[in-house]
Amino acid sequence: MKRRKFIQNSLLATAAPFVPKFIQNSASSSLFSKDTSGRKLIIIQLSGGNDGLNTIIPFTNSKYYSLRPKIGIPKNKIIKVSKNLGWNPGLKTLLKDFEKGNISILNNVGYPNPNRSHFRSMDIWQTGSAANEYLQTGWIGRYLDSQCEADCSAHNALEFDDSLSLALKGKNQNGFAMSKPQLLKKLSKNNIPSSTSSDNETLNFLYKTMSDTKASANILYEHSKKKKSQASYPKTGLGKDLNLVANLILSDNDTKIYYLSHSGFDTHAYQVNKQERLLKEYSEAVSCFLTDMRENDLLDETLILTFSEFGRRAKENGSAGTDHGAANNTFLMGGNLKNPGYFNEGPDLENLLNGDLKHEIDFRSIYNEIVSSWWGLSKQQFFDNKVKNLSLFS
Amino acid sequence: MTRLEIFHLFQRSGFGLSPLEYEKVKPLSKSKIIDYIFDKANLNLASKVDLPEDYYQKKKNAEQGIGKDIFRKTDQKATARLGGLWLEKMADPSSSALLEKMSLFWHGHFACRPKKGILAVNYLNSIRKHSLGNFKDLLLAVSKDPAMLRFLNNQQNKKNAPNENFSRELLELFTLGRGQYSEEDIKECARAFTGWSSTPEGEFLFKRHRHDYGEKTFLNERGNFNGEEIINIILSKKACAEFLATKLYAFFVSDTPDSKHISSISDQIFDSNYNIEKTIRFMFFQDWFYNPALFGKKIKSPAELVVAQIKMLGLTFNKTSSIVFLMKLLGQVLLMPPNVAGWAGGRSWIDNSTLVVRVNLPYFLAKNIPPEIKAKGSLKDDKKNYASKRIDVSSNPKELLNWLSTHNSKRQTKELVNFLIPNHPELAKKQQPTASLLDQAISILGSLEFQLG
Repeated sequence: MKRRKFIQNSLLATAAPFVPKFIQNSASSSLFSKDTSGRKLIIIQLSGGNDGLNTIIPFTNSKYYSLRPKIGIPKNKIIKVSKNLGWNPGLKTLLKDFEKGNISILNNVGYPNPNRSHFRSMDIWQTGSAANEYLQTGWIGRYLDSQCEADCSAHNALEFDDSLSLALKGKNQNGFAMSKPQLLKKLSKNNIPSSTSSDNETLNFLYKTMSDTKASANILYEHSKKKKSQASYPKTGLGKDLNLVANLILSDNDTKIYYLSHSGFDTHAYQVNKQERLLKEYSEAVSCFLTDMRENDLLDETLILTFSEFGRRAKENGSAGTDHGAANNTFLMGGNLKNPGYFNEGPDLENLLNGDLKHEIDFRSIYNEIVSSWWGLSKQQFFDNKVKNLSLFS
Repeated sequence: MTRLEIFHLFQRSGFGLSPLEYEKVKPLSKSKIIDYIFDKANLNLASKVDLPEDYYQKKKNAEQGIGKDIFRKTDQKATARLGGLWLEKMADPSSSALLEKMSLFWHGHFACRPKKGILAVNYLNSIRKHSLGNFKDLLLAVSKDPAMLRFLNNQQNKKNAPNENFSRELLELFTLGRGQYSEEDIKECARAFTGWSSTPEGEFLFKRHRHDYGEKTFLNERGNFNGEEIINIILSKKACAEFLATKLYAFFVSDTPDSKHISSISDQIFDSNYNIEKTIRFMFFQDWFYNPALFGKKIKSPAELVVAQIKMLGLTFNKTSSIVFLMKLLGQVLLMPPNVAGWAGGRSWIDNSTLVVRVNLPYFLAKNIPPEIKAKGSLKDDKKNYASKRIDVSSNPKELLNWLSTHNSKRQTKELVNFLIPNHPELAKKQQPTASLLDQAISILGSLEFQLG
C-alpha cells in the first residue's frame, strides 16, 4: 500500500492538473509510459581506492608496461574484450553480461583538483561536492529530501551496514542502515512507546524515528524471508549482501536504493593477487545477481553503479603496489543501458597530471543522469549545470 | 535559581550534574553558581590531556631505529585514542566541565584531524588552553598549529605557488562566514600565510624564503600584510563577532537562531575585544538563557551522551579503544571530525542506526550485553575492516545509588526520574516499580527523553 502511495505522490503530484480525476483515483502506474517507480538502484562502493588501470587495461599500450614493470598484468592473462582494452582476469564471470549488453564501462571518471585522502575523496563522492566544498548531506540523502516529504518508508534507501554513510544522509530524511535483518530487529526491540503526547518537537522526532525503525526492521525481516531467490550466490560478503538484495526485491519490498560496499582495495603493496581476488569476488557476486534479475524479468528495472573513491597512481611504487591516484573507471550495469560496452576511450597514458590519470567525465554527471533519466526528476536541484549530459539510459 | 534552571545551566555549560555536585550547588545563588563554574574552569586551565607513557617510549625507540613499524601503527591509532582519553577527562569529577565543553565547541569550530599522536596532543591542548581566553590568541594558536597547517595544506602554501585551502577555511569557517569576502580576498589572504609551516617534529616553523612579502589588498585594506596582520583585520570586522555569536548560540542555547539574542552576544564579543570568558559569563546571566521553552530541546551530542553515561553509571573503561568504538557507532570520533566543517549537530546526530545504539547504550555499558554491531573501520583490509568489539568496561554506580538511598524508599523512583530527566517527571509513572533502582536508572538512561538536554 505504501509503495502505491509513493507512486501517487511522486508521479501524480506533478501531473495532477492535466489528469482527469477518475484516472488519478485509479492510480494505475501503467498509464505512464515512462514509469520509473519500480526502478531500483544498487550502489556498490569499492572502498580503499580500486586500481582502475589494472582493472580495465590498455594492454596494447607499451607505456602501460613501462609504467608497471612488476605489476602490469601480462598480455596472456588479460581477458581481451576489445582491441585495446582488456580486463583483469578477476572479472571473467562478467564477460557474458557484457556480451549481452548489460554493462557500460565509463573510463576516466573523477573531478577537478582530485584529493588523494581516502576519507576526503570518499566524502566528495558521497556528497557530490566539489573538491573545495564541504557538504553535510549526501547525494542520496538529498534525493530522499526531495522525494519523501509526504510518505516514504524509512527504508526507501537501505545501506547494508551497521551505520549509515554520509551518502544516505539528508537534511530531513535519512536512509536506513541494517547489516542483518535479525540483529536490527533484536536491537530495536524495547519498551519505548510508538508516540508521546509531548509538544516538544525534537522529542516527537525521536519517537517517530524510533517507531519507524521498529516498523522497518520488522518489514525488512519479514521480506528477507518471504521469497527467497533460487540462485546460488557465492558465500562471500558481497555475495550474501546481493542475495539479500535479491530476496528483498523479489518480496516486493519498497526499497528503491540499496547501498553496499566491498572493501580492501587500498593496495600499496603486493597488489596483483589481492586485487584479482577482490575483483573475482565482486564479479561472481554481481554476475549472479544480474542473472537472477534477468531470469525474474527484472533486469530492465535494475541499475548497478560501481565506484571507488579514487583510482591509483599510474606508475607502480617500490613495493609491487600502487599509491593513491585520481581518475578511475566506473561501471553501470542493468537492462536499460543506452550505450552498453565501453562508453569512452581508455586513459591517455602520455598525458598524466602529477603522475595520475586525468579525469574526462565528472562523476556528478553520472549522478545527474541517474537522477534525471533513471528517476525522471529535474536535475537542477542536485548539481549545478557545469556537468555535461551523458545520455546513459534508454 | 529553580531546580530546573540549575539542571539546564549544568547541562548546557557542561555534561549534566552528578548527585554530589547537585547537593553542593543547590543552596547557592545564581551568581555564586556561575562563579563556581568559572572558578573550577580557571583552576583547570593548565591541565592537559596526554597520551600514555608507552606512546612516548615507542616514539623514542622508533627515532632510534627500533620498532619503527610498530610505532607507525601505534601513531595511526593515537589520534582516536587521545580523543577517547579526552572523553574520560570530560567525565572526571575533578575536571572543569565548562572548560571541556568550551574545548569541545572549539574543536568543532576549528575542526581538524591530526595525523600523528604528538600533533593531536599539541592541537588539543592548545585549544583547551585558550578555550576561555581571548579569541585572537586562540585563532593565532590554531593558525600556527602544525596539525591544522598540515590538515589544510598550508605546508604547500608558497610564494608564487599559493595553496588557498587554509585561507579559504580561515574566512569561511573560522571567522567571517560566507558572503563577507571575495574570492580575491581569499587569494590575497593565502599570500599572507605563505611560509607558515612546521618542522617534521611538529613545531611551528616560519619559512622566510617561502613567504610573499609583497603588497596585498585584503578586505579593502592595502599593505604588506603578514598572517597576523590579516587576523587583526578580520577581527576588526563586526561580522566576525556575529559569526561566532551565531555558532555559540546554536551550541549553548538553541538550534533555532534568535537574532535579538545573537546580536547581544555579538555585541558582548566585540565590546570585550573577543574575551571568551566574559562572553560566556554574559550568556549564563541572561534571563533568556533560562527560558523554559529551551529546556530539554537540544539533542545531546555523542560526547555529551557518553560522558553523562560515564558519570551516572560510574564507568571505568579498561581499554580506550572501547570508547572510540562506541563513539564510532554514535557518529562522533573526537579528533577525527568528518571534515573541516566539523559535525553538523542537531538532528543530524540521529538516524536509525545511531538511535538504536543510543537506546541500547546503558545496557551495553552496565549490563555487559555485547553490542554485536560493527563500526565502519579503516579501508586497509577486508577482514580487519569491520571489527565488532566487546566493550571492555566496568560499572560501579555507587554515587547515584548512595544518593538515592538517602531518600525515602517510596520516593526513590520519582527522585531518580527528576534527577536524570528533570523535564520529564511524567516518566516516573512508567517505571516498573518492581525493578531494582539500577535497572530503573538503566531504563531511563536509555530513554528517548534522556537523549535531550
